[in-house]
Amino acid sequence: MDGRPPGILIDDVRLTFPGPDGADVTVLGGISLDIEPSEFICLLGPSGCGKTTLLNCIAGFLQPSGGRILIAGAEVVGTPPEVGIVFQEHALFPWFTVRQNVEYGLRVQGVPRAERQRVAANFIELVGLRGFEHHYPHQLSGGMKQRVGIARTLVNGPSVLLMDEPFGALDALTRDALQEELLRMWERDRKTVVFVTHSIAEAVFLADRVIVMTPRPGTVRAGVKVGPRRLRSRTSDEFVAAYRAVEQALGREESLR
Amino acid sequence: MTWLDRRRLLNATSLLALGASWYAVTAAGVIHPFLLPSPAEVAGEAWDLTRSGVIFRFAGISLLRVVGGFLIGAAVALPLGMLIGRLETVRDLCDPILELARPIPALALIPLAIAWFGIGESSKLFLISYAAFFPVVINVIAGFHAVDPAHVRAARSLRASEVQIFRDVVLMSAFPYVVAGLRIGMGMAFLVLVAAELIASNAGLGYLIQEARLNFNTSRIFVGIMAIGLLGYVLSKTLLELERRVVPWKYV
Repeated sequence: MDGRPPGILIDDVRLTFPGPDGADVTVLGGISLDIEPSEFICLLGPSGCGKTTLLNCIAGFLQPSGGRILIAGAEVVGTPPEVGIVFQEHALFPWFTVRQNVEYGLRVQGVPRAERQRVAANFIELVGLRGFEHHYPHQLSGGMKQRVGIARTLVNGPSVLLMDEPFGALDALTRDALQEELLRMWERDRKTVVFVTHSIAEAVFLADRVIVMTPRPGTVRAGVKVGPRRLRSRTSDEFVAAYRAVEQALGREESLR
Repeated sequence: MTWLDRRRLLNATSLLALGASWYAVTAAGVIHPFLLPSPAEVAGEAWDLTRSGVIFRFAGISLLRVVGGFLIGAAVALPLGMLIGRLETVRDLCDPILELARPIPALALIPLAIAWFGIGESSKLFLISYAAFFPVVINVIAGFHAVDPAHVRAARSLRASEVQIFRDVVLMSAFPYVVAGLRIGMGMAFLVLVAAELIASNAGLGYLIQEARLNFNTSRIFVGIMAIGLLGYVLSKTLLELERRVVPWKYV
């Protein structure tokens, strides 16, 4: 990757859908967020608060009804070239093997077979799945599938990574392991990451900054900065303090309801 | 003893028991041989038909009819099912006709088939293709409807073009359904075959049992029925095996 990854500017983004009774339903109620280059952001909030919707707007899958989103200074229309997306439930192509899934992004761009197999092999190695190249997704465990999903996204060399509850369906131990792996990868190339989760522990463990959202219509309730990552472990005082701060931000909102 | 061995043993036991009771009943003479000939008589008849090659010729002709009718039905069902599955307008246009026609058994169309196509090959092909059409079209529609939006988004986010998305996501999602539809359609075509051959014909397994009935040759009826059963069994096993090979991500 050349140069620093871009930041993301989210400026008063609103989204309303026409509701079933004719009245508009407001999903996002004016969200403003300045995400620094190389920042690891976690979007945290109760289900239905619009965190995935916001992610889909950044990904260019949804067009906000108001406000704008800028990546590297350019307004988002369709998925921007520097953006890679890791999906909830991995969304792997079940008809492709691990290798075919991982090299798909290169294949559609016409990268020659030998070259794309070489690159795919590197990323399969990176996520620890060497030896599983010819397996189909249904032959893999949940954690392995999501590893393939991450490799498939990384192959295109995105500098911005959008992750939609990628570890939500995994068991606790696998989840912890993948969080640590993700951080190791992040330390290597410091991509800008927006990570959606509804787990406080996950958000606090991963993020530089946790963005706590309100229930629908989603707005930013609070931004909690978490201390330097090298000091962090799941039991450190810093971790616990950040956990409390996030919990408080969430709890205050709940008492208002 | 492993499970598989046990199962095979039980399978063989039931077949042997069936044969033995058949033999016992005929040997005891409780049923008139005209109604139920002995295994030996049927075997003799089978041997005659095999030696003369008649059974193979007739099986070949029947198979040709099944495959021909099936191909016609599938050739109409594939593009139509794809259009219905992809385009809502086409779906709304075709749905009422499909829903009304689907419950009509192919056998109810025999008189119409004769009126329209006479008693030659074309009426048989019409009936068989009609029977094969519905399972294929219904499965193709389901297949093109079953495309997961998450897969389309994933492909799009990996910068696949619309043409690539259609080839790599839409077609691939539909493929297992299409293959299953073709297999079931072939089965339906086979089920209608004998009825179609009863209309009027001078060859085929359906003709063999019809002609045997007119000649009071019950043994030959049995051979014909068994040949039909055997052919159907081989056909469905072959197609199932083929399906496993072309859709490895469902079966590996």
